[in-house]
Parts: sequence; structure tokens; C-alpha cells
Amino acid sequence: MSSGRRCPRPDGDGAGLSRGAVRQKVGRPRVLSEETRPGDGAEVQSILNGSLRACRTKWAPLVVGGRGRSASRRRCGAAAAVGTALLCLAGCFGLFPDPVGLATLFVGEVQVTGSEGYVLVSVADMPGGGLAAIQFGEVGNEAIALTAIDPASVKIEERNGFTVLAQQFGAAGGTLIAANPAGGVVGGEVLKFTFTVTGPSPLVTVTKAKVTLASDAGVFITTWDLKTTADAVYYTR
Amino acid sequence: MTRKISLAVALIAAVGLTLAAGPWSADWTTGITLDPNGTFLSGLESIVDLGYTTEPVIWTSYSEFQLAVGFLWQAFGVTGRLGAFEIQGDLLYGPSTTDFLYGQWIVRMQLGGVDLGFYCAQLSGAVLGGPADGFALRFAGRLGTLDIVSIAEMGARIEDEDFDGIDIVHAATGFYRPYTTDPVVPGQGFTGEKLTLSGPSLGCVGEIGTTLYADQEGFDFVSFELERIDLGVSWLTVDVDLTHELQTKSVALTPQVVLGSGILCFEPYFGIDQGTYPWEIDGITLGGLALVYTWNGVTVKDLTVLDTGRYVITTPEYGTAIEPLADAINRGHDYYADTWELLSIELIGDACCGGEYRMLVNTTFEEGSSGVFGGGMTYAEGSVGLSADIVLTGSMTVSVAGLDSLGMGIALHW
Repeated sequence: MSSGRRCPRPDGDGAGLSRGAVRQKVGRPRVLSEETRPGDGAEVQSILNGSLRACRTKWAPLVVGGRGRSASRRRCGAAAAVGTALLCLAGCFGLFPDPVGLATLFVGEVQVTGSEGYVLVSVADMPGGGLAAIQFGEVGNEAIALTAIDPASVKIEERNGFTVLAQQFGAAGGTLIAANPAGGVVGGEVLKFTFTVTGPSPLVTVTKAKVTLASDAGVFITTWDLKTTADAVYYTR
Repeated sequence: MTRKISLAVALIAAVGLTLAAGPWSADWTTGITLDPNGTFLSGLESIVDLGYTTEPVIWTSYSEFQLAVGFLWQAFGVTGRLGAFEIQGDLLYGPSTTDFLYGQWIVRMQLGGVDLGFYCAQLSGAVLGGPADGFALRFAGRLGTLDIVSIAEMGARIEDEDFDGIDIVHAATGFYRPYTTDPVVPGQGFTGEKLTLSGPSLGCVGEIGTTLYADQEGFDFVSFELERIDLGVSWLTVDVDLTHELQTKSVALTPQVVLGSGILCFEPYFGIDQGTYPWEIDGITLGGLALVYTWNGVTVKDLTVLDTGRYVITTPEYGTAIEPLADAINRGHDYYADTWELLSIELIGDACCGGEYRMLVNTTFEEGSSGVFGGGMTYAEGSVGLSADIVLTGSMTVSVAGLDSLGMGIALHW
């Protein structure tokens, strides 16, 4: 974390920087049109702005081939070299953190058009070559609860190579096992539940403690998060 | 919601039409999907793609509306060439949540036969996996017959043969936008260096390549790829992929049956049955057959999958072709699951008024279907160009139970 102190903090105190604060510091100089503010990454920004301005000033003669071309080239080359050096130095400002992104199972919000609805089940940042098998509880200990949804109408569409091996949906809720025989899914959809809605505010709720995940490497995924689209509307894959 | 979307779509179309002159260009694609069995209106999509040319760059705006979420994506872009520099910039917003989601900036140039590229990107905290930012530097050149590519990763990875880039996915609906630069960490420290050498052939080996990857903790792996090794058997070649990691070594042998093209009037898809050990071949399985014949604008295609566990038929968006299941999954291709036969007829010709017409009918036969001969689903889509700039589209899906969906739309360009 100490490398983050090369830029002064907005409050003037360089101690105890959080990762997020450092990220803001290092990222800020790329917003070149922004006005610098004292104590807000101004040192780094002014250096970068300076080299950019120098290059911009000499840009036109360089492109159109007017007088002073070689001199302009030299200056621009020097500016580029300084810029490259600064970029390399900017790389040194990094904190070598571990990649972010805890393995996550998404259960989307119910998407309703008329009396029909669906929910997407997706994953993100799955380790061990990706998610290869998933189990939602078992009969008598169902992991999926349905609200204002006809359980008899539930159909499951398989996505990204996942195959449903067994399923049961009833008044007590739903349970299913699905696996991907061809490999793992690191990020993306794995299942889509479609159903008929029976009332207002339909809901599909999953109990995390009853869900089991296994990776393509043949081991259980024990550290993961259950999220709904209320927690995170977008994810990356 | 539907009324608001329709209003917004109409408004944007009206504004777009008024800007038809000058440096503006625009594409507007819209369509609705009807479901006779359930909700009457089951889908509504409208995409407006605007371009504004200010030499030497083009500014673009991409707006996508979907019935489920309303205003789904708003993307802005700039592409062009400034002197020796080829530039590309992208910004993505999620209007439904009023979030900035992603931005990238790519600058490329050629210097003395060397391709130089600077890629930087920022991912917002509104996206799971963010916040993150970083950049990467790419150098590519040729030394004799040797191709050299070096990618220095400063907190970001970029799309190449081994890496797919980044998709920003709307979790509830599955819609996504793909981009090249994937920022993986907060902060811009060195996170990886990838050096790839490839190109030369050596005797019986078609192509040799090697890739060295090191991350911030040091050496990660080195791999050697030998492609199309000739074993002296005219119809069989082998690809070898040898990967050394810190504590493990793996060898992947991929035998391939090579029959050449034009030998048969149909294309067979063979799979190799490997034995207990990587170098053991237990047998060869015929996994599928494809017959394709084109005559005077009519293409007839008959695809037969003999091993539905290993081969699948991709959807029209991905070429309606037989593909190994593993490849379809890895490449993100949609496919018809459990389908063992597909009959396809496609007609293309000139329409009356300057455009062209196209008609496609796909009929599938599935395992476990109660339809006649195992008939599963028939999908038909068609388009008619009223002029070079106006195209009407339609689609229909019929399953064993009856009409599943009916779609229609229009695409305008000006």
C-alpha cells in the first residue's frame, strides 16, 4: 500500500490509503481535460498534461510535413519517450493486488411479460476451469422457493452446455441437479427458468446454504457469493 | 412501459430522420415478437446506431431498447486515424440504472514494420468484477518467418487467440456488449507479460508456436504448440500442445482426420476416440454428416448428427453448421440441443426495388420429440428489401404444440 502515497491525498494525509483511494489517484491523470486541483493528484497530472500539450503543439507540422519537421519529430519523440517512461512509472504505482471478483452465482429478477415470466441463473468468476455442476437442494429440502409462480408450469432451458439431470418443482419449492459434460463455465448463463405467473410480485428465491457447486477441476467450490440482480445489475465474463 | 419505449423509439427515429442530410448516417432496426399462446406482445427491440463524421474520425452512438428493461444500453464511440495513429474509444452506460459501466481507449500505430498498440480501460463499480482499470501494451512484428507478439499487461488483458476480451452482461436479461480490453485489477501495476513466437514450419510439422506467460508473481507457464504433425498417414495429423507450469506439465494430443475438400459431395465429421493414455487412439467415430447444395440462389442443407453427446447444430446466427459441443460452448455459440437432424432451405434473390429478398426455413428433429418422425421445431425467417435502405423482416417459430412466436420488424438506413 505504501506505493500509493506517491500522490498526495485530497485531505493532505498520505497515511492509511485504502485500495479504492489509490485506484482513484492513479486513474485520475488519464482524465486529461479535467482541471487540476491542489492536493488532488495535481503533481502527476500536471506532468502528464505537460507532455501531452507539447506533443499536441507539434502535431500539425509533423503530420502535414511542414517546416521544422525533423525538430518536431525529435521533440515529439522525446515527449513520447517521457510519456512512455511515465506510463512505465505509472505501472510501478500499482499495488500488485490479487484479481478482484469472488465466485458468484446470480439468480436474476423475474422478467415478466403478461402472464409469462423467466429467471436467468448465471455465474461469474468461477474458479477451477468454471462451474461444471450445480445442485439446488434435494427433495424434502428444496433450495428454490417460488412466490406467485405456478410450480407445475416451470420449465428449464439449459444454457452453455448445462444439462438438467433431475428436477422437481412442487408446492414445497423446487430442486434440481444440472451438470456440464463438456467443460466448465467461468462466466455466463447456465440455466433459464420459464414459468406462468399467478399473481403480483412473482419471486424466485434461492437458499444459499442448500446449493452445492462443483468446478470443472472436479472439486467443490466452497467460497462463493449468491447475488440477485438487486445486488448487481451487471457482471463481466 | 411499452408505451414509453414506443414513444422513445419514435422520438429517436424522428430526430434521426431530420438529420438524414450532411455528415450524419444512421441505422434503425426495430422489431416485435408476438406469442399467441401467452402474452400477446412478448418482445420489442429497437436499436439506433448513429454516426457523425468529422474528418478524420467518426463519432458513433448506439442505443438499444428492450421490452424487458426499457433503455438497456447507451454506447458512444470514436474511431479514426490521426496522422500515424489509429484510434478507437468506447464508452458504455446503463441508462436503466443511470450507471457508467465501461470505457476503453485504443491507440495503434505502425513503426518500421512493428505494430504498436496501447489499450486502456476502466470498469465501473456498478459492474460485478469492478471497479477495475488498467492498460496493456502490445508489440507485434515479424523477424524472417517468425511472428513475434508481446503483450505487457499493466492491470488489463486484451483480446487475442487465447483470450476473448470482456463482455458486460445485463444479469437479468442476458444481453451483453463485448469489448477488447479487460481491466482485471484496481491499480495499474504489472500483472503479466505474454510473449508468443509462431510461424515457422519444420519438416513434418505444419506450424510451430510457443507462448511464455509471466505474471506479477513470476513465471506462470510456457507452452509449445506443434500443429499438423504429419505421421505418414495421409488422412491423419496430430496437434501437440505441451505446457509447462511451475509444478506441472501437461501434454495434449489432438488427432484429426483430414480428408481434404471436394472429395465427397457431403462433409463427414469424424471424432477420435482416445484411450487411457494421451497417445492411445481407440478408434474413429463418425459424429455427423453435412450435405450442402447451392443452385441458382437456392441452398439446401441437410445436417445429421450421429453423436448428439459430442456434436451439435448451431443456430442460424452461428451459421447453421455441425460443430463439436465443446467448441460451441467455448466460442459461446448458440445451438439446438438434442437435435439429430436439421433440414434447411434458403432462398436469396433480387427484390423488386433495388434491395434483395431472403427466405430461410429450418426444421429440426429432436430426441424425445412426440412430433412426426421426431419433428421438433420449424423456424422461418425472411427479409425483403423495399429499397437499398429499407428492409422488412419477419420470423416464425412453430413447435409440436403449434405456433410459438411470430416476429416482424423493419430496418432503415440513411
